Amino acid sequence: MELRVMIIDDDKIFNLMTTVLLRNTGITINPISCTSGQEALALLLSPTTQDTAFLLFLDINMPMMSGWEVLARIEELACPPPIYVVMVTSSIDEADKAKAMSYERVIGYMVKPIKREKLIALKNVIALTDFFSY
Amino acid sequence: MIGEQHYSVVFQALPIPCLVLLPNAPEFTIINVSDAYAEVTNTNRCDLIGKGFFEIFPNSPYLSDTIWKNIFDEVIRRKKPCKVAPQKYAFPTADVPARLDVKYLEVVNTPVLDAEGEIEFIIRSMTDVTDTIYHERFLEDTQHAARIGSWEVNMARQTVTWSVGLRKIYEVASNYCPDFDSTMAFYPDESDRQKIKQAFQKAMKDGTVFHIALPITTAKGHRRWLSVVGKADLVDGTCIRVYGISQDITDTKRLTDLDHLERTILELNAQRTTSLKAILADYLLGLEALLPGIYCSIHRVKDGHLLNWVAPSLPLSYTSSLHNLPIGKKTGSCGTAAYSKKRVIAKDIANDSRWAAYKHLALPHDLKACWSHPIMDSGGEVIAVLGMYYKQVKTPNHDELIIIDRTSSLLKTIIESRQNADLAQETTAMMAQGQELACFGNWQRDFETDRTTWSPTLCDIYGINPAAYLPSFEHYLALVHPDDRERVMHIVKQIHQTGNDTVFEERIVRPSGEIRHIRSWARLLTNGDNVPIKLIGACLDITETKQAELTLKNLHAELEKHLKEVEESEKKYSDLFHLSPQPMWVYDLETYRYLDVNAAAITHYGYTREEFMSMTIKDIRPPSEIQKMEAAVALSRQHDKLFSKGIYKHRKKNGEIIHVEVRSNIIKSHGRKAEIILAQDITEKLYYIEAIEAQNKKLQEIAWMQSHMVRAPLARIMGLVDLIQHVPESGIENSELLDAINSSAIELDDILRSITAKAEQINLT
Repeated sequence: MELRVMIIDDDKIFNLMTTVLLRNTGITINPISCTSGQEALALLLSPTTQDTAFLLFLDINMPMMSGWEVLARIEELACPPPIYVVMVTSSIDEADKAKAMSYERVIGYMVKPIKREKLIALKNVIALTDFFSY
Repeated sequence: MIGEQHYSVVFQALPIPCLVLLPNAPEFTIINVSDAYAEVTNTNRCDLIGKGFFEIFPNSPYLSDTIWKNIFDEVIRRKKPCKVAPQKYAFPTADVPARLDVKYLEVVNTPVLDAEGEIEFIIRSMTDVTDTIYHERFLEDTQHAARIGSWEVNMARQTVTWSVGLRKIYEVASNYCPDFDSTMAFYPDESDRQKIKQAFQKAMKDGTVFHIALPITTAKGHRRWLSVVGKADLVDGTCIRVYGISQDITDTKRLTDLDHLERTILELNAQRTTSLKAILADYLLGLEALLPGIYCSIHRVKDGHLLNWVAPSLPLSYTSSLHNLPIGKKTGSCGTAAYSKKRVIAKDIANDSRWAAYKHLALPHDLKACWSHPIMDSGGEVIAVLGMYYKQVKTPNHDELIIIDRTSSLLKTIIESRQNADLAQETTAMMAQGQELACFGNWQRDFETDRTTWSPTLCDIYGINPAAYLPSFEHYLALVHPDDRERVMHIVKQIHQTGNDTVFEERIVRPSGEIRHIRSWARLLTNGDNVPIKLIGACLDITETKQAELTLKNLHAELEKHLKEVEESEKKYSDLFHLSPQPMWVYDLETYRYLDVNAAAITHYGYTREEFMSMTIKDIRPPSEIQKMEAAVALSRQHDKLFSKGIYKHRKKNGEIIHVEVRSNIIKSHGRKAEIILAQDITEKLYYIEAIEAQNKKLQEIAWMQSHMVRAPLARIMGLVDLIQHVPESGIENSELLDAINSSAIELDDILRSITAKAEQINLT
């Protein structure tokens, strides 16, 4: 099964920086950048996503549709593909972290700016180890 | 030889009164008279000689003229001596001729025949048997009175002679001629016949006197008891006769048997092992044996009714028909006797008015006479009725009346004594039971024997073993509590000195050490000389009562204390209510009416007390709040205790709407279910809360902006710098990165300016 990495943030500069770091840390060569939740959901529901697992770097604070709303929509999907989410935010509110970790599919919580070490450590998360074994 | 003239002298001197008559009927001339005759007849010899017999004695006061005139007919006819049975004669006395001297004379007229056999003279001789007759009469009267008769069995002639008295006893005719066999036939029992034969044989053999008592059945069928005393007359060892007397001892025997019966019954009653009913049945059977033909009954009398008790020989169907009959004036013999408290003799039930309504019960059983006697207790109340029935019309004779009286007296004694004994036994048992139940014991000290006795319950009260403890005054004192001992001794001394009954309380110490409280009664008994003979008393264990009293006293004290506390509490709560700075009121849960309001409520809401008391709690609510209030009251009505709290809108008298936080609880006020309300006006508080909440919202917005908006460009700058420093081969031109940093910094600056502007909007005053 293929792991597709998606960066969902309305901040294009952040998306660019995250893309560089993902490539640099070897998590993925071609991450998909989405600047809104709707865009990300559309991709997740597209036929091409069959037999594909997704790793989402999902920003909480987005206009139109927040990261929480995206998460809620994913939970409502009838037969979703395997989707793993890392919640990303510039907020330092601990309540957000606690809320994020209450979702089963959320495997990480990162405060901007994202650190290389955090991304490298992500490879060792049990849910993802199959995708990063050599 | 004496001469003829001498015969005349001899004749005159004969001691036997004699007359010599010529047979020249009807004159019968007297030709000679003995001196004895003249003396007996109070006549002179000279006056008689030559006179006709009937001229001198023309008549007899005790014989008819016909018989008198013919007194010589038999001797003339038979020409043989004729003996005339002793007869009564009357002769003038010597002193007063008008008086007659009565004599009994046995007269013999003897004919003197001539050579040709014709009567030449008649000698009339007389024997004065007056004394003999009187003695015989006396003996006969005595025998009759004593119901004694004499008898003789002549062995030579094999004849049996009975006296007149014996004939009367056997109720045979005066001309009855008994013999040995017919005599034996009067003894109905064969065993009795053998007894008398054996007695005769023994007497005839050795001449001893025999004495036996046997029953006979008289010629008229009456059963009588005879006491027979006999003796054989032996001549040279040969019995020539057996003679003796028989006495009718029926009454004596009956009374003796009655005595024996009464003694037996009394002994039986004294033993108390036999039921009263069985004793009475035995008694009645004994009476029935003594009085053949009688049938006895005893009915109890209770609540004016006859109740069957004992009637061993009467038909059950008859006695059953009498059961529970009311007593009254004409209710048969027994019912009438019980009612009138007098003996009732109904000699003929069929024709007795007192039996008119009941004879149909008795006559079918052939019961024709009934004598009833009431049995009365010492208080004069009829407790039973004795009934004596006969199957023939019969009036009681004197002896039977005596038996009835004796029987009634004994029945009274038996029944009453048994009832008293039963009552005494019951009372004793109840007393013992009562003593045990009430922890009540008694004691007595006998000064004459110096003996002290305690009842078992008293021993229990003192906790001592009666088998191992010898009661005495000293031992008793040793058990009295040391603190009470001197007082008790003083009380006892006072009793001896004054003789007054005394009641006192004391404490005793049981051998186990347990202290008990006792209430004691004591009484000194003295004899006729006022010398004390006994000190008697009773003790009641009142420990529980004392403890209960103490408990009650403590409870009372506690109650008083509690009441005082309640009073104080009520005052405190009243003060808390009336002096509370918060508005408070009490309202009736049913009517919504105010029952009480405090000063703060009056001040805060603007109504006077009187206005409040005429209002309901609905009157201080705006219309929009009525439904909410009614729901809250409905909930309170369902509970006896319910503390609740809520926020409501109230309306003051001036129309101002205020927000109040209401705390309530359910109470009883003068017996009615009510609710006490504490109303705190939170209108201002709510205002402040609203203001604070608005400020908080702005502050939260600022914080959010700081957390999210400020940090977003800052985090971007930090990320870009990190990228430049640590990922030189990112594939992005540095100029592009620097532009991004620059735009992020501008963005950050704009955000900070925005936050400053927002903070300025917050009025923190």
